[in-house]
Amino acid sequence: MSASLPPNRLFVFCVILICFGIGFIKASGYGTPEAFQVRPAMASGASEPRFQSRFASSAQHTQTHASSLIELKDGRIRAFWFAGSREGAKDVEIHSAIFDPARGQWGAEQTVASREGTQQSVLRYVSKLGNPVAGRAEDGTLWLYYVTVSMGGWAGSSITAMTSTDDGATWSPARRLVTSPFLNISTLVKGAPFLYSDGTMGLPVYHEFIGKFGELLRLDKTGAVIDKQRLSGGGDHALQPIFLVKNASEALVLMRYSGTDAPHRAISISTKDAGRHWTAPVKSPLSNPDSALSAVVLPDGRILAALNNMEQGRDALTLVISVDGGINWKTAYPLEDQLAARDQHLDEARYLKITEALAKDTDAKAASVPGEYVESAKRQVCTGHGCRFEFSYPYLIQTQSGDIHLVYTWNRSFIKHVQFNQAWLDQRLKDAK
Amino acid sequence: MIQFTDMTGLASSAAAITAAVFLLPGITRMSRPSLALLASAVAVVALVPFGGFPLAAYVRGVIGDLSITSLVMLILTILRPLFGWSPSNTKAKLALQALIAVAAIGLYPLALGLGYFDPYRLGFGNLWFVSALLLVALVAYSRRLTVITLSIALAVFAWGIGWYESNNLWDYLLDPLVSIYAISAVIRHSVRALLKQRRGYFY
Repeated sequence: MSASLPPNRLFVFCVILICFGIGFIKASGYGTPEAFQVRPAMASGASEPRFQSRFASSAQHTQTHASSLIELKDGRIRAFWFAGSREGAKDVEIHSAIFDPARGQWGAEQTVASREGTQQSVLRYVSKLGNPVAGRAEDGTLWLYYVTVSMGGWAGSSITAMTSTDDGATWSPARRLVTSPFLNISTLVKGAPFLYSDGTMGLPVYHEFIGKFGELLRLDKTGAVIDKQRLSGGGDHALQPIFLVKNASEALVLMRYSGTDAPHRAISISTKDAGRHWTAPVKSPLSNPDSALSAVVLPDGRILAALNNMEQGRDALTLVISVDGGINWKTAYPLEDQLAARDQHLDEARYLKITEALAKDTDAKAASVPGEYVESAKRQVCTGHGCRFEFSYPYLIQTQSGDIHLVYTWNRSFIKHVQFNQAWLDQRLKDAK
Repeated sequence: MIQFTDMTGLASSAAAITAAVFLLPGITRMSRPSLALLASAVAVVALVPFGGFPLAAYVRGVIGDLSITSLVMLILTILRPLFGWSPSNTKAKLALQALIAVAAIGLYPLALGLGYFDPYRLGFGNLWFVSALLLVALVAYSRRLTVITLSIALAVFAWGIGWYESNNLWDYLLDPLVSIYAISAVIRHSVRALLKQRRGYFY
């Protein structure tokens, strides 16, 4: 007796075979990276201590925030940040400018992404733009990832990506990354991307809808998301992870703490097997007032971090250093410190006077027209209840020349750039002893 | 130039908009040619740019690309009145709704941060996950629950060929809209069954 299937049953069976055959072929193409890529050795930099500061952004009377940096192939540095009438407004754009270390000057501020341009590219409604970060793929392509929102607040964010093969002179159309099953909401970027040994890219991201937690995306060479790892649980209140690759297999991750339980400390996790397994999140010794932090691993293994090293407020920004892989930290240099002004319940006149002095101290250009800088800052940080200083969202990189560059939000009105070398850092540490 | 995945994504939003029209009360009383005309008109209106942007793109901005399971159900919703098909196999429909409801209740709370395990990660090419889906599809096939078999198999196929922007298999199997629909249908069915049982006690 033959046991043949009716034609429609046979058809459905063939559909199963074909569909799953294709599915298994795709699934077998995913691999797990063996190691992190470690950056090639850098120059130690000039032996003379050097420290300079200036403003990277130039537009007046706008709100600027969330800056990031990347070194270009020719040694210049490109910064990205978002700017508009206020955070979350429809007119917010992603701006960029280039710093030429040889001339010690920032070029003109340009728009690299707008809300309208992004929505035409991704063929979806986009209501606002947010944090941008850039990464360099193994083939040299520059990738720009930035936050886009289609509905609601930042909890409704998703990530959009663009590429450039000419270091940011021109950009490809934007593409949306799909990273979450629930309407693709709540994935944001802040930390610098890094590479795995197989050429795939790790992109630290975070989630802030209902629970707040850090995540890690892995992207293949075409930019497709091929893996996603959770770095902390929803109850850990940890976000904005930054990855510090120590060697091919070890990395430390520091995250902003957004919880209310004291002590308010940055959250840390680590891996010893290139991210296959992670330690449970713990509170680090670094204080954190629910604010972003940034860090780099120096060629000698020390870790340098920039953060608001206090439990409340963003009116002081500090460089701290660890010589034992992130276990213990000590202050290297106070970059900004207006704690005293906070205690004095600052009125507008006093705020303007201090801000003028700070602007003059930052940049020679600002020294010639300090009033414009002060007015821009006043617009952003003064309310009917007084004024407050804000120095936040630091982003640190070390370039091939050995110099360290830091950008951060200066009173929500400008992006401040600080450049120094290891000789200056070592001098500060010697002075601190 | 418009990408393939944008075309498929916009088409899925247009299908959702068209299907929404078919849910209007009294619509099934229209003649088949009128229904076909209405469906075509709504789909075209959804895809034609007004002010530089089609309605489907606004819907896509909010709901994302519809899962293949949603599309299977929407297409059945649209095509049934057009072709005068009889109501689908109730047992298969209920089993599919129950399966979607269980999967959604398992996926979304965990993916949104409950605990440390993220089932969404399995959708990035986990071989065990694909194998488990094959098993479910075969069990459904053996029980003649063809709508389940085809929904799962077509979702795996679409993921395999990169039909949408998403590279995650879950996004082809489930979306929040079909999940809400399935969970409410299961609840509705359970309440009805319970009431029927109680009436049985009284009489």
